[in-house]
Amino acid sequence: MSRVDAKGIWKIYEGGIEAVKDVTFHCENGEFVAILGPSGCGKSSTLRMIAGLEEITKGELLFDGKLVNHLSPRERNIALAFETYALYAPLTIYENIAFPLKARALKKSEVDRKVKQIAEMLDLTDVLRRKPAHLSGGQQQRVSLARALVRDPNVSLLDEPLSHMDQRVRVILRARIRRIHDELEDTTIYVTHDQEEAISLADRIIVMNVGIIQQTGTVDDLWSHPVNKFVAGFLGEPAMNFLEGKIDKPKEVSVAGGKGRTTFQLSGEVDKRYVGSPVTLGIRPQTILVFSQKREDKLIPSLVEVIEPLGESKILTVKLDDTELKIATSIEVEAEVGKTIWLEFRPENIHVFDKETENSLIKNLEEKD
Amino acid sequence: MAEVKLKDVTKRYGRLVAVNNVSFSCKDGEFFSILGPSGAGKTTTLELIAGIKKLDSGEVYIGDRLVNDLPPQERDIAMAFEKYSLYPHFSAYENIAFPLRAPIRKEKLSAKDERERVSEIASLLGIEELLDRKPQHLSGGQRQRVSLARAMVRRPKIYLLDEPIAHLDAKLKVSARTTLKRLADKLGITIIYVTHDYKEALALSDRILILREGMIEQIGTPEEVYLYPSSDFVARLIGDPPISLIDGEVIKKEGEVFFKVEDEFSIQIAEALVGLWESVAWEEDGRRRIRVGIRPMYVNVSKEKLSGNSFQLPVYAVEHKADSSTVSFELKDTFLIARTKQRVNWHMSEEVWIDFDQEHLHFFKKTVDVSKR
Repeated sequence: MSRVDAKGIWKIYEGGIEAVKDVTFHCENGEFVAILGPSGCGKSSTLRMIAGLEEITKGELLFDGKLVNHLSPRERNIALAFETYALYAPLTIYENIAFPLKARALKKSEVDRKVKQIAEMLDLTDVLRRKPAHLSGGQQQRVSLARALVRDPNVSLLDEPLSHMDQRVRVILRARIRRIHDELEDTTIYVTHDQEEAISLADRIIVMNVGIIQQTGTVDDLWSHPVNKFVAGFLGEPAMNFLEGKIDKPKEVSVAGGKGRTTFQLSGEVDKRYVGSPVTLGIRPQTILVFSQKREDKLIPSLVEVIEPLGESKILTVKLDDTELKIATSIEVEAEVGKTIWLEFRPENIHVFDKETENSLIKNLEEKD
Repeated sequence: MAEVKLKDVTKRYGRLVAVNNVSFSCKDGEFFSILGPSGAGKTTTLELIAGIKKLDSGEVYIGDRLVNDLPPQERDIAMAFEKYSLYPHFSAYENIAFPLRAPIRKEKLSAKDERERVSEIASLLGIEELLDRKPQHLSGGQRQRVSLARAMVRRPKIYLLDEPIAHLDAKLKVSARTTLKRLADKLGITIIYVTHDYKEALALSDRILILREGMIEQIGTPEEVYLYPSSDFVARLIGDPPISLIDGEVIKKEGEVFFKVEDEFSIQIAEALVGLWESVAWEEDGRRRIRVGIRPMYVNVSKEKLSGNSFQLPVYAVEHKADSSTVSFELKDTFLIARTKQRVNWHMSEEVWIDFDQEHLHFFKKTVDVSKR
């Protein structure tokens, strides 16, 4: 178990390509942190630098306050599991899992205890005597995970360990990974492009794009207070709706829709200099309230175009003037294609972004300069 | 547009029966999905309708016509597959127009008519701006839409779509799904749609056929297959997190009925539900056993005791969504999964109270293996 500190880390490849730019973050001892971003955002390069598989061009990496920039992967005592699992084909599953323990002077009984413990956690007890070739893809991936986690590492680094599994297995394995983390209390850094996976597993999430950290925070921070349009749009499925709007007053924004314009109150203030400016308004599909009748003046009429039932929930695609919106709602909500429904946006669910910088413009009241 | 009807259709590959005595009819203008895990016979069924594979026995009708002996090009169908193979040296426009220019076609379109047809479908799929580009300059999602446009440009009687959006990433998939649904509504065409993704099937279809090892397990509307699954197999296939399937013993005591799961827990089952489980119960070692199914959203969990019928289990793991959590509990051979309405921060091994919404209990015969492995 270790605390990890990355201070102003850069990765510049030959030809001047800047893959990771001035990245600073930390992981507490025993914390589960996810690095989330689209492909090419620099998340894997960051992980590989922490692992020591890739040289750090600039900046400092510390484990428990000690600089490890120049230590080899082995000296850093990290566990690694990657998307592509390379198991030793001639060895049994037991031998594969025990392999990382060989270099250490451990008693045979101690090795046996550790291997059996991790195999039990990952449901591999029954296949310990088999060879990798006789295992399914999902089982092989679990062996790779077991091999990574078997020695009490300072830090576990997992790079998309579940990406090739089918949805069903993935859901079960996610619970197992979280469980193992809780049991071993190891510091875990988990790289993924899948926002659902990051949300489900991590204590905190680091969102990266184009080599830069966009935002670091708990799920609540990222979900309710995204700092920019990228973070807002990356988390959540269906993704946040964006509409063209205009700031009328520091706490008021309006959009075209219904008859003329509809005005919304905001939960915080926007800087005065934006009054009169066009902005991007954001609202999550999960937070739009739906009514079949116009009950209050503030409700906005919209035309239902598509209904997609998904069991207990359904997704509506509606038109508000020319803008298409998605609404995720309960299956009990009544809606019919071609009919009008009435929408309510609550102030606390409305986000406002600058049209050019795409940064969030609402200042939270508790925030200071 | 036309009806498609299969009557007692069977297809064998050597000793394997890929499609086993399958009968159904897909109505004119219907969006009809075939859902099942890989190896269930979905694609083979589609290929039999298309005429790409020959059936061993049974009959396939398109409209009123028996088409068993017709070659694919005379069946008036269009197909789109998961793997779109676009011609790399053609523009998107030329790729889409290609089927219109095929020599087999009886009607020849003027250049103007051709352009109109291509633009119409391209605008429905939102790719008008991309028509001049070559495939290598298109993203994966754009290529998939071009491939779909190519399949749909001909206006055949029937569209057969085989996982056409399967490998798009999660975000694109959501938007492609909506596009497809809108397109189907607008054109009023007959679509037979193969998928392994229950969400696609529920979201898109008028009716869904569920295949299991070549045989029909259930046919119904999205609502029917979700709310009234005919078997544990169907229940397990639909929903995420999946329904929990728990095997246990039924005990009658002083006129009351209890469902007991090993030493883990025991709950009373409402009188009104007796008729439901009695028909599916089985005998094992002299005991009456049933399989209970309960969807995660109907498993209530709390730190406080919920009712006289609630029981306690230690938390196995907690996973989060943005506005809810999924809590799992380990039973002897399976997991019980609960979905909370707010996020909870419980730790592993913490004891919590559990209560089932009795009106949402399902009772099944045991036909699938749900062990943790």
